[in-house]
Amino acid sequence: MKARVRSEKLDHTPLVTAPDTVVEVILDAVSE
Amino acid sequence: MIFPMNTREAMTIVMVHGAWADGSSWSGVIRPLQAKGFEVVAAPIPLTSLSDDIKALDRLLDRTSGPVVLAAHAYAGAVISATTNVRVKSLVYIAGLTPAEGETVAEVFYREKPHALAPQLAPDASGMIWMPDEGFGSAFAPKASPEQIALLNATQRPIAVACIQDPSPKPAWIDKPSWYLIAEEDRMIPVATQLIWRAA
Repeated sequence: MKARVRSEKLDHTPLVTAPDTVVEVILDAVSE
Repeated sequence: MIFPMNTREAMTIVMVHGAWADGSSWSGVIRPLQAKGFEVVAAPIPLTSLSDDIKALDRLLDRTSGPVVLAAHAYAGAVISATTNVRVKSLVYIAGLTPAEGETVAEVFYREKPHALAPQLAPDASGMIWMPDEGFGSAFAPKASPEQIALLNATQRPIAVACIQDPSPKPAWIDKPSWYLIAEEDRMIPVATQLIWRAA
């Protein structure tokens, strides 16, 4: 797996507890 | 609606919920992306077997057009990895499970020692695994507000044992560009399990 990785001090469900970070990762994927 | 420019104009972002959740778990992500003009869809998967979930995602993808970014939380990593849809341009894993071909979700999920605060999970008489009520606050989303935890409790959907026992097909992450967000303080999926893909 050749993934681009971001690692953060997040819990299991960042889509609920850190949605801004999740949005940033998705936007990175979209922009490629 | 605001439409982004260039290649992003026709991009659809499809999000897939994990176990014990539904599409509403993505609501905090959906709204900001919609505000940027993207078509965003939260795919409903039945959580009745891995093959059922893959078929449900395929049906949802058939309702979209143009390029797609697929994003998954946790268990749903196994679901999006199974896509064979050529319109899927990239994969995004949020603390996702990434079983290899022939591997089951259970083999991946139970490979490492569970966190001390991980919930005790066992199927009921119908073969469905429910999150214990206290599990949302102690392990599933310990950084969530009381209101968020109450919502997660109210909307939880059980996962069938078949979801974690079906062998996985050849994963799309072998060939498709992928992004991975590691959740370092995850009490459900140990970081070592999230890093399994490094060995692939």
